[in-house]
Amino acid sequence: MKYLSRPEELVLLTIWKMKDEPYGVNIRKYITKMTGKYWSIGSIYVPLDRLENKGFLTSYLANPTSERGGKSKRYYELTKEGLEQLQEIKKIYHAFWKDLPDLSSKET
Amino acid sequence: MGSYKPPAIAKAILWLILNNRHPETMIGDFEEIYNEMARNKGTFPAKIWYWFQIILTFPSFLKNSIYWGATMFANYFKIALRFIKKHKVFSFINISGLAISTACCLFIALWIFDEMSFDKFHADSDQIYQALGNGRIASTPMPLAAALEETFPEVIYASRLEGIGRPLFRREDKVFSESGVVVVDPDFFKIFSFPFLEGDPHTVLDDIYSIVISEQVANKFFPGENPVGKTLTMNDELDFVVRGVMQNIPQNSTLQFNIALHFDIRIAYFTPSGADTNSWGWWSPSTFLKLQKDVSLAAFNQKITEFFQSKFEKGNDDETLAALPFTARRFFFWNTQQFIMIYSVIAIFIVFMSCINFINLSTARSAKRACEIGIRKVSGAVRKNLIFQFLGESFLLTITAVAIALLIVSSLLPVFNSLTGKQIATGSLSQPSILLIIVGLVLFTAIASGSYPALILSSFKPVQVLKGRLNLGSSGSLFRKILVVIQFSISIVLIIGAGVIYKQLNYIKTKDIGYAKDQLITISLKGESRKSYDILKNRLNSDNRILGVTGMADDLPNFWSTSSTAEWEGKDMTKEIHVGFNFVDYDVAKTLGIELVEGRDFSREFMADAESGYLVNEELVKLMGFESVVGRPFKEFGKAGNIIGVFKNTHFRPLTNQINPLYFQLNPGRINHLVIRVPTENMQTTIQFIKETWEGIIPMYPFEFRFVDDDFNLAYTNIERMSRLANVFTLIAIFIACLGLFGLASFTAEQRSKEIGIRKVLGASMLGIVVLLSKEFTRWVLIANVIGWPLAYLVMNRWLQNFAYRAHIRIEIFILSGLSALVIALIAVSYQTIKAAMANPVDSLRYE
Repeated sequence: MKYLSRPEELVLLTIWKMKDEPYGVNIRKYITKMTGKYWSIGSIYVPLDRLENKGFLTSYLANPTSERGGKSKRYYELTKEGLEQLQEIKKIYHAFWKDLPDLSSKET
Repeated sequence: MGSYKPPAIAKAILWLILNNRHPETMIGDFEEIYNEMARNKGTFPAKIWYWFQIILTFPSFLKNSIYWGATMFANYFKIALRFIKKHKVFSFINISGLAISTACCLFIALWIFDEMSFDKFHADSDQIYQALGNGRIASTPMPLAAALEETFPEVIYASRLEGIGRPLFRREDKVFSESGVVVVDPDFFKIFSFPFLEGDPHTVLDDIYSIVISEQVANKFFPGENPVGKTLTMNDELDFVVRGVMQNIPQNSTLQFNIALHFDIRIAYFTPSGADTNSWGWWSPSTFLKLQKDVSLAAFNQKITEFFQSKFEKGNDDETLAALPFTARRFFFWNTQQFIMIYSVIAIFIVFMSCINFINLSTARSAKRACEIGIRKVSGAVRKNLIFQFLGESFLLTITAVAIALLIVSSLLPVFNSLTGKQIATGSLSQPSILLIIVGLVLFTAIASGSYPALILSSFKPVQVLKGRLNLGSSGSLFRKILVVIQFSISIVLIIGAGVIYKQLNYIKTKDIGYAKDQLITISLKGESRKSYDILKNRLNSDNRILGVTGMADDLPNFWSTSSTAEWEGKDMTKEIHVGFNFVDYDVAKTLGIELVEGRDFSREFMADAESGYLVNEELVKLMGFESVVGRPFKEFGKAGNIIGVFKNTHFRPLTNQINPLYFQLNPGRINHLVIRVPTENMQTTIQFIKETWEGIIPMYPFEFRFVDDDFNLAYTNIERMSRLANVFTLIAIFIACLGLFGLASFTAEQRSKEIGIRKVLGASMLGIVVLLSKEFTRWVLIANVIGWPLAYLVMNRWLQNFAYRAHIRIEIFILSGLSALVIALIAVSYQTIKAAMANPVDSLRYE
């Protein structure tokens, strides 16, 4: 399997989870809301492009609107490999986190 | 839902710097977020945000583009250098061709700028004019300047100027015979602003016995002292007080003199007694005017012409007067605008041709780079990158070539100066206009010569190229052939031109001009030495090594003086007829070796000769219209007399002029020059004898003599210069044309390599293939001959019209020039053809 960077992981997870139209602006909003951190537009698109290159995402163009200056939206979709990748990540994390119920207790 | 537009500039910048898989989508996202912000928080914060996004992007954008740009640049540079190194002959030819043409262009530019700068240094150079008699000649009537200044309010100042030969100046023990001595009116230095080191230019010539000298003269006579107020003696007769010292007159002034005197000196001391110095019939000095600003030249010319004609009783419509702008004087009298035109055309032609050659050579070599281009394309280079790469290469070559050209120019500048008779300093290369030309040349040459190969090379299809199939097609090959034909046509014109100029020069130098110019020496007489003329003459005549001694007023080889007041039987008195004259001494025909067709030479045996003898030339006889003129009356300068002999038409003017009607008046009192004929054998010892004789009689005067044929040849230095320049241009043009041919030959050889391979396999001999390839080039050179010959004939025939006496253009010159062009062309292509013929057919025919 290929390891993903943290932003790639989060973006991939977002696309799987979110219910709105999955295009740049919404993806950014969702991920900002979930992480509580600032995400620039570029920092969304770099992982998106990489994921697309790795074959975990596909994209297609749809309905241009006037507030987009007539530019189409690009919707992203998880591929089969993308889904498998998410499951894989979950499995690995689960294996690591399983016997660590409370992080604060180890300190004290 | 209304929509808000983000700032257009910002959007455009965003477009430029976005480096992403889906730029439109991102732009769309930006715009959508912008809209949302504008709706919620107003357009201003939205705009700020939008701009901020761009600024944030910049650092990484710059990093990427510069870093990768530099990396790729380093790569291009390395490849270019490797290519230059690998194909040494090709690169050498290419760079040297460009360098030579650039150097040539720069030389021409320097020459043209120098020509254009003539006479521009005077403060009000646009207000200065020269009055031209008959609208074209420099000599004007003596009273003209004063009359114009008096009559026309437009004329602020007017001054005459005339040269007075080479008088002798003395200051204590320092004696020099100075050339460049002029007499001018006091206003002269108000018209012209020649810079002065000492003295006030406006008042220096107020006194008639004032003298203005140049720095150079001052250093000769007054080394290390201030000459102002000191005395110089001319011809041991006249004392002058130095009132002003000029800076040496710059080379780009058409007026060149070292000493200026008051014009009245000429009237008092250099004028035949009894001559009317206020006569409108006496044409001698040049007249310069300073006019008011914004004078309409056409109207002014009209007015002065009318005024001028009113001064002549015999109305003659030819007598016009025109004011020539002083800054155009160089063009007018030296005819340089013709050369400026010709040289500019040559410069443009040379640069253009070297660009074409660059294109030919580069496309010819493109096959060698096909693989590189294929690999680059496969590894992701787009066409833009390749175009950039090849343009860059052509810039690299051009800049190298221009650097070499600058080296050539600065090191060959002395040679160029001696060739053209100029004094251009290396520093003038850094004048703004030249720098502009250099930059322009680099840009033009690099882009013009680099864009075609860049477009062609970048259009290669990687698949085909890497498979080894390269088809450049025949597109543009006709164009290239035509260019080679043009190059050779011009080369042939230049070869023929150089040949004709050489022949004409030779013709002038060897033509029998009617007197023994190579046996004659002349010595100028001044002051005391003039008084010793008779003793000198007798002493010299008594030696049998001396073939003849005489004297004359105007020096050989050119008699320019004319008068319109000579009278003879049946002269048409209604017309102004100018006849050349000279005052001479006894034995003139014998000494000069001119042939008498009728009558006799001046002789002491005839007492009447001294009072009234005239010798005339055949041209004057023709003008008079008599069968025989000997014994007929003739009158001039108050001397009524008879014609005693007729001499053959002799060239006493340069061969650019027709032989004019001319007479000699016997007048030993007006002799300025001693003319001695010496045998060509042992000339040195004879001259030594003359020198000793001279020093025995007048030891205080330096013995300064001149060979008449040296002075004679001096008149043709311009033609000689032109001849040498024509030779240089011919060589350069041939060289560049050969480069073009070489490039074309290599291209053709490359293109036909398969054909040659097959021919060889089928049994063609090497010689056969060389002949096959050369045949094509021969054909082009022949076509070039067909174009070049009539062109050369027209141009050179036109040029020969400048001469009243000209050599015949014979067909041999044409044939010889054509043949030499052909031979040179074949030599130039032989390298390529022989290489192609010797190539192993296996190499050209195999497939992988």
